[in-house]
Amino acid sequence: MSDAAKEAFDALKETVGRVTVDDPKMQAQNVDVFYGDKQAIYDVTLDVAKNEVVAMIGPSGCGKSTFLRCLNRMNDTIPSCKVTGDITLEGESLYSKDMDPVLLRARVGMVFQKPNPFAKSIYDNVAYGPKIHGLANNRAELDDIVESSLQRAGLFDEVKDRLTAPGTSLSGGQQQRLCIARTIAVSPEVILMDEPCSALDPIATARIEELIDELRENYAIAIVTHSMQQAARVSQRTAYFHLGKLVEVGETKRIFTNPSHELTENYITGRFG
Amino acid sequence: MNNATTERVRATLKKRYLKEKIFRGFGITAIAASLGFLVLLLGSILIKGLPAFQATYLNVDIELTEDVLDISADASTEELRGANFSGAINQALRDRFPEVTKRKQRRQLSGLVSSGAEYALADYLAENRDQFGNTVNLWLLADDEVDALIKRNKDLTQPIKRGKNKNNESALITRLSEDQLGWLQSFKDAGDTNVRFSSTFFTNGDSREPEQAGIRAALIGSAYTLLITFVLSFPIAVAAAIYLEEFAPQNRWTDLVEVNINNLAAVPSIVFGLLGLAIFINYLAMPRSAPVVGGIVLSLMTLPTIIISSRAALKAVPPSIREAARGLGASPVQVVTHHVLPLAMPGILTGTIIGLAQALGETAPLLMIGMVAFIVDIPQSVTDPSTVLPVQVFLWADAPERAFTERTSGAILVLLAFLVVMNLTAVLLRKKFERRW
Amino acid sequence: MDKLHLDQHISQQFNQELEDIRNRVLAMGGLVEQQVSNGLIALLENDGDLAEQVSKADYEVNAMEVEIDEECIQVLARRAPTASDLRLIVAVIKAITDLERIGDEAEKLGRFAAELSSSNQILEYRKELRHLGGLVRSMLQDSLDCFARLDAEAALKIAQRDDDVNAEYENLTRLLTTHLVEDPRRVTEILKITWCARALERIGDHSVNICEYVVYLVKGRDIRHTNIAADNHKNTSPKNDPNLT
Repeated sequence: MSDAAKEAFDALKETVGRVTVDDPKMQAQNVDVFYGDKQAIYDVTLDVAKNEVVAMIGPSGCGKSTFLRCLNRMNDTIPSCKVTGDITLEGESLYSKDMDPVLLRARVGMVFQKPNPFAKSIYDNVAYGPKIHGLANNRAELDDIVESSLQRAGLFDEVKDRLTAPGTSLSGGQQQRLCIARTIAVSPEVILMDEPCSALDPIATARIEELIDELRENYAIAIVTHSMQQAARVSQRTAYFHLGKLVEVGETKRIFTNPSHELTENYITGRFG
Repeated sequence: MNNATTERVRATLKKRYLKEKIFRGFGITAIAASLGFLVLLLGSILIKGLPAFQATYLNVDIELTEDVLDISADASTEELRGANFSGAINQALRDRFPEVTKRKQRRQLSGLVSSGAEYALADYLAENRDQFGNTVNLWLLADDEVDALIKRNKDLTQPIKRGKNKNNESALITRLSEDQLGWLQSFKDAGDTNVRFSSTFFTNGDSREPEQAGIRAALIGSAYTLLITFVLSFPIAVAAAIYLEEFAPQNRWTDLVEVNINNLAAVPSIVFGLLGLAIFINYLAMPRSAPVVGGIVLSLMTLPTIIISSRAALKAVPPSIREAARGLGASPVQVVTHHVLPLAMPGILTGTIIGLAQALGETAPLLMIGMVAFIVDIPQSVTDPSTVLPVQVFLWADAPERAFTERTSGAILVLLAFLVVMNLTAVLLRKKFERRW
Repeated sequence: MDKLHLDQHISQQFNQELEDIRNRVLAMGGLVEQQVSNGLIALLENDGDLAEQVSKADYEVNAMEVEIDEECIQVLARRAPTASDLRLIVAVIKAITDLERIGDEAEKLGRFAAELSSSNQILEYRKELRHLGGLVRSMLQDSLDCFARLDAEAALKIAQRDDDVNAEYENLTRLLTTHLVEDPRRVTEILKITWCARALERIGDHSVNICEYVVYLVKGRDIRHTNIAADNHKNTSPKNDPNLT
């Protein structure tokens, strides 16, 4: 880090730009995350709005994935991980006793970096979530859910003739869309995406990005990405994380033409930061 | 790369390739050596063991009359059992060689036929009551000495290897007398000796008489023991592995448990035998020599192996699958039962079968709990006294009769076949459950 | 963020490309400035040779515009620049268009200077033209200077000087119109002088544009077609502007 950037980072007391939105779906307030003694996230406050894609960017190890995983308590399984501050979904606190993590994850779905379909058929991959949550009363209903989920993920036409084929027989991009179909089959309210295109080729990436834009109509979406161009393409708001701090939040169109903070500028223009 | 660099690299190339060749040579030599030893071992066992599946029979005409058998024609089945079958056999032999009159010679003559032949005759008569009163032509099982001699030697006219014939290469090694050799020769000349496949080895239990000794009891004992071992160790080991791998918190206690499991895997098996003797037999008063105790002891021994291999199999399941299931809202148990376990199953099964194969070959702990006894009866349940294949091998290897050598090798062959079948099952199961998607 | 930090990209090649573009723009600016200066001298001194030279040199300016344009397109296509880099490229693409137009105006000056060199009519308006030309030339000079220094504050001030230019231009036009009414026989020469004045006024406008690009480049804000004075009144750092998110 250059001296100037270091100074700017040390001087950073609060996030630049407006972190709240008028109609929030999820709200994180003053979130700190610790792994054992090491603090991974410092005092992050950020809203996820309805019908909006918020992109989180930043260099490796900046805490963006950690923060994303706090939003559906995927960090629970790491025993040393401790989250303080408050995260709410529609006003309900995520980390309160009343919130069941299983129910929460049905409401806040997640798509991962590497396409990870289950070792089951395409049909069973999508049907799995509705099955365990008891969302379908009979086979016909389940069929409908599977079909509509695959439709919405833009995969149905490609796989309708081979629903019983293993999920892993699909190409990487198709697998990722299968994972998205699997996630939306549970009808979540929020979809979290952790670098969903990092293992895909540009054409598959473009499809997923198109899909994300379509899904925005019905879901609140938070996406972590290493590709700034992707953040610029798919998101309405962008949040820049740096060494565990949320440096700047703003409309994507502003962040990518005229960021306010020097660190943001350095990162998105590819300067030493 | 400039020319100088190219030259320097070229100079090292020869040496590098030579090293590779030497290394490959070592590898091939090692494999060849181990293959050679394997062939040698299997070959010697096969050569020694294959005759165990065959037996020598002597053709004799036997009178099944009231006089000879000492029972009436309308005797009941029980009475028939008590008939003088050995008398009938002796009579038949004496009829064949009328010149034999001396008591000693007579005894030697009846010694040509196995003492088990009378039971075969009894079974024959029980099935063919209409032959009562007739003279029937039967193939009777020969004594083990006769068996050994006939199987090994074509020419019975050679002198016997004892005394002055000690150094004669073609002399016969036998405990039979010259008279017996003569009678045998006459049987042979008449075409009344026959070496053929005999199921005795598979249908009989142990016996003091080698030609009647079989592995049935040991085979059934092994099967029962393994069944107990599997039923006990598989669920416990898989449950332990799942708990340790998926649920247990990482702390000093689980570390301790892990270290202990690894240590247990290395504990000499006889220690488990002593434990079984002390706890199950002495303290809990469980039946001695029973497969149930053997199974428990062997499952104690197998548990660490299965736990360790199951944990390895569970670890090998990509974490992304767990994350995917959790991210969909599957509860921890659902994550394990729906996704992790099916993917880990091939590995778990392989580990289990390797553990069981180990248990199958185990002798030492079973000696401690009394499964080394001389068991003639085929065990009917897991609490009946029984022995197992490797212990049977051990017992026979110890027996003085020369004919037990081939029985020993035969039992080893059966044991090996058992192992091959188990490993084959492992491969097939893995193929069936393996889902590389 | 007063500087572009063009030497801080992780990609050295990117640094060089941007630096090269900037240098070429400054070189082009220098050339254009020279052209304007020469055109003006030719006009005022009745120097036919210099006028000839100016109108011939215009192709150099055009060639530079094409070259820089090409380079900018390459950067856009291959580097996908963002933030200040993006603004630099956009500002450059726009600025060179204006510079090229200024070059055209200078060429026009040169052409009319050559045509007027045989006439003495120009001498009557030399004072006014020199005054107007001086204003415009210093505006151009200063706007290129603040482009080089990325001085947005100066750029805003320079842009305001266009009012003086316009006033002077109107003044001159009025004089020329009066003259034309009085002496319709000189219509050709008067018209040519008017066009020269017009060219100078246009150069002033283009300089204003360049200043606006500098503001956009430095502050990230488009101040075209707005009241510059009012805009300048607000503090322009978006950091302190909560409405910007």
